[in-house]
Amino acid sequence: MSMNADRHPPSGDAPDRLRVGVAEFAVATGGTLLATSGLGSCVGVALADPRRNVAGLAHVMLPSEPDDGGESAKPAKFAERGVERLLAAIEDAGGDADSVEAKLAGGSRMFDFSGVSEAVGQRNVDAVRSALSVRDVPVVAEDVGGSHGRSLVVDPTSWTLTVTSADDGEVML
Amino acid sequence: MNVDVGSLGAVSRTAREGAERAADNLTGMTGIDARVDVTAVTLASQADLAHDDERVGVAVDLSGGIEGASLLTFSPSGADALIEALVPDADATESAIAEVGNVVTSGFVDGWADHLGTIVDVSPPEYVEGTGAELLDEAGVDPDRALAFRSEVVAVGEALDVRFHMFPDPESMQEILGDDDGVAVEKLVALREMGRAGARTASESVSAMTGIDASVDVTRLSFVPVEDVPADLSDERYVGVVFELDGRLGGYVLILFDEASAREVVGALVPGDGPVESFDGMARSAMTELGNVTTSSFVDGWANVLDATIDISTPQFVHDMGRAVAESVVARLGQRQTDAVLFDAVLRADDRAFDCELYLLPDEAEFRDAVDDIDVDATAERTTKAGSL
Repeated sequence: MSMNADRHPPSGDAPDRLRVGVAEFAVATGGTLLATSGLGSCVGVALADPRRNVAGLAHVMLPSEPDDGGESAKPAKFAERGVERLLAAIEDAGGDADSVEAKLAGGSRMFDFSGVSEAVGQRNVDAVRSALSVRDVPVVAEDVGGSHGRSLVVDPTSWTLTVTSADDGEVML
Repeated sequence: MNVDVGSLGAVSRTAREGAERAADNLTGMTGIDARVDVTAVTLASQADLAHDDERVGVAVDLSGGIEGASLLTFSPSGADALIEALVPDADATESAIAEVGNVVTSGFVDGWADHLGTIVDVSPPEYVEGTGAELLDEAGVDPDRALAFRSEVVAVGEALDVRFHMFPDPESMQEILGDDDGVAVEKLVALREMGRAGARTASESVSAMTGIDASVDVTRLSFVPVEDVPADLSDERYVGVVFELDGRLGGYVLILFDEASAREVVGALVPGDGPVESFDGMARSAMTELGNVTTSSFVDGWANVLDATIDISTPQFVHDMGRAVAESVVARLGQRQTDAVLFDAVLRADDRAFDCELYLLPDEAEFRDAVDDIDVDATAERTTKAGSL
């Protein structure tokens, strides 16, 4: 089930892999994988209720709304709203909020430019952690920071987050 | 016609709703899981749209709420994948493509019609095939019409890409985008032309340094939500440099080569016989230096048309996934702005695999101010001069 558009896969077959774009999120159950690619300073937030084989993945782009507002933005563009919506979608899909746990990846710092825009990756990670913390969702694994890009795949059945990067190869969380 | 630059990103979002429907229509008909990759309001000249690669698809005339034409095309291999999914073993290729094209086109068009609160009639689809120029000709697109709506839909795990271009007539364009308080489209055209001249100068720098005969293939000026920018790049690893701009126009410049092209460049710049194995040491210095020279040439053009100084930071070398690099740039911009102004150009060589992608992502507020101040006539003059630098 992709939450960024009302998709109705034909003939009842769930696709075996849902791609999550920048600032989007999706929830899947059973054998459907969730994937997102090209994470730089963005943070991939994987949430799952492991006992019920429900998992979700959000591609969070920014720690907070800019001055000119973000009401028209995609659902997971900002950390707080993205986490809130992803958690709600996990519950809608049969997950129990009390059993949900999180795995994080991303938030890298790819450039060394100075100025106020600096460290947006680190601030993304902090904002996501804070949004999870107030909802009592524990972070059980993470691969954050560094200066490289990452691609992620979440498997709801095994509750694994596979992180692929040019620097570190493949790491399973 | 005047347009409100600040509203163009919102128009792109509207276009996206239509594109989502089009992707759903495609999935519904073929079972191929399709999703929207890019939608943008784009200023592109006929020359930019006239790609040499062969495409097949449908041309449709629009009337009623929007007057104009649209083109929906697939790569030949994408069309094969469609036929395979729809009617394996059939000979009726053209009619199958026309049928899919019609249904997918109506998804795009319905999105626009809803947005405008109107009804748009579409003519029966006309099957078209050929290069970009031939397709535009068949669709009856006025060569002088620079402003288009562009959407791209890709299939997950399939070699299927869908390009949709809508070309409303001037009156319809006025209705969709017009804003008396906005800036004249001519100014945007002038900027795009300036960008093209800058890209040409940059390609001359690349050629002079490497001996690789490069020329400018595509230049576009697009207005898109910041989160949609990364999808314009591939997931593959790129080698290149990123610069921060300061002065009259802040923002970022990205100069990116795919790995094969980067090897060609390094091979041309660094002495040695063996194949290029890594992008460390000398190779990295060479790429950085090339990026420096290319960016200076490119940005000088913009500084020229804006009649202002633009400072360029020291280069940041990158060798990573294209989308991760772009995302890290727009995340920085996104803290201040919702929509991005994206100028992109592609430099190519005729005699070898060589792709250099050039992106300029200015600070949006500063871009708007700068556009306001442009004197179109003076710009035309400077453009001519810059082109011959």
